[in-house]
Amino acid sequence: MVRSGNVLLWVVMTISSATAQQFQIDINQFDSWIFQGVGNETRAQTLFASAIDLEINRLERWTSLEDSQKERIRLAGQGDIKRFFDRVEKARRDFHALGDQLNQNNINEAYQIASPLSQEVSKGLFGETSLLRKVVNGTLDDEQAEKIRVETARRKRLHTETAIKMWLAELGRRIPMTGEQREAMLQITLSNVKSIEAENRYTSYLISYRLSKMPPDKLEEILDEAQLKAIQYSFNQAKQYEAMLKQQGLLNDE
Amino acid sequence: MQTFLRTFVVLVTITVCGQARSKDRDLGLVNDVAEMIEAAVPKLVESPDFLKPLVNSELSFIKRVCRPTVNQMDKIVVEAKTAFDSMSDMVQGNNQPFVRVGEIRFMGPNQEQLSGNPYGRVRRDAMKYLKPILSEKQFQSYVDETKLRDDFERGAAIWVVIDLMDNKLVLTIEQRQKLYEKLLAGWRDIEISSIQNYVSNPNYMPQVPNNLVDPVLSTEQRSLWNAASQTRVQFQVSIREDNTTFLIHEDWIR
Repeated sequence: MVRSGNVLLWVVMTISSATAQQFQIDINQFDSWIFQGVGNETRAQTLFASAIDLEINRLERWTSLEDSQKERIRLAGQGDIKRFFDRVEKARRDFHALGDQLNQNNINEAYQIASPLSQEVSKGLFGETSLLRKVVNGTLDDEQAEKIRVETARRKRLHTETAIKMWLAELGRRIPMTGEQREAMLQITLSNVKSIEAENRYTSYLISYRLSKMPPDKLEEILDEAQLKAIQYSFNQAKQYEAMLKQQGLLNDE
Repeated sequence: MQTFLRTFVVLVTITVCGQARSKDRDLGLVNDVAEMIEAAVPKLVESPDFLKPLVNSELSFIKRVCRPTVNQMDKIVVEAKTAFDSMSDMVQGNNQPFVRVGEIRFMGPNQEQLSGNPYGRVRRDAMKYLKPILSEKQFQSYVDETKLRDDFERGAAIWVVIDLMDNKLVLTIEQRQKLYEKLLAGWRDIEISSIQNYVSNPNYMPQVPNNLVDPVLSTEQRSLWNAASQTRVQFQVSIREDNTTFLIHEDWIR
């Protein structure tokens, strides 16, 4: 969410600047939209390459890997990087195709070409649908896979706890509470929200949504009347996002 | 005093203009003088409304943790209002305040620049005005609860940073815990409202004090961390004043 906001602001600023300069938006500026998360293309290449090493390091911390397995994973990661830069090249061609037609009315079209790639740069190339991940899943034997599964789940739980603590810390600024209330809210939230992606833009809505499904008396034991009214307001906001949460697959376990 | 200064500016300007009417050619000079006087006398700014919910939220916190009598609460609200009025000194208008690298910049809903952290200011003000009003026990409750809240907020933000580091460096559970203890003890100026930006922009890392991090990391992790935290970025924190930001509606200062 914040990323989109920053990008939008940047685009607005670029548009303003471009208006004054008769739209001198060139391929360098287009590239800077794509690589703004890391600085430039060269730095992106370096980061992607080191991310492969990092993925291998992570797996090795949890289970031992044979050299042939590491090699297959590395090749798959390089395949992901190549595919990404192929998409960058296609995006550049699409940008050039706009040519002289680039003006203040269709500058957003150019941005829309860059935006998905910019998001990939920020999120990283080795998510669940990547070649690297597929090769990891297909390369490990049962014992290795089980170790990875346990460690991944533990790590996910730690990140969920962080997301919940962050949500509660921010909530405390909007609904002031005592230390005792905060601790009780933490425990009740930890036991009701099992898994969450901290980097998901809908994290706070998901937590509020989950809590809104609890029997009301659970919260009545913790919060006073004014606090309850306030948290109910945030629950109502979260319920308005129900369709979005479903669309994001965040309510799949319901 | 404020009225006097305003009046002073207006009066001097009119007087100079009166003398100059007979000499049109001097009008430019007169205007210059008027502008100089305007510039010399500090602009008097009222505390903006968007800071009021922060003060009201702190008063709601005080009510819950100190349990003041009605009479005490009345006095607290009066003092809080005075403290709020003096917060105008934080507002820089459209001037860009000097911000050190790594320091957080706070802004109002209409891009008003603030010098310093308004949440910290509200809490420091309360610490000053509460002492003469509350009993020793009540005041100690505020001190204790404030520390609990600060530690919880900083702790949550620190876990976010540790998760970000974990993603880049593959930390062990022991390293995570050691980092948490070191950062909680030594990193005072971490702020929850800005740290969330790094979750949405994972290619940037907050500026974490090296002396706290280095002893916990391996040589390989240290070099990875140095590379990952090379790009410095400044996120701004916007203070909003709508109902979605401040949920509890106890308007002590209207």
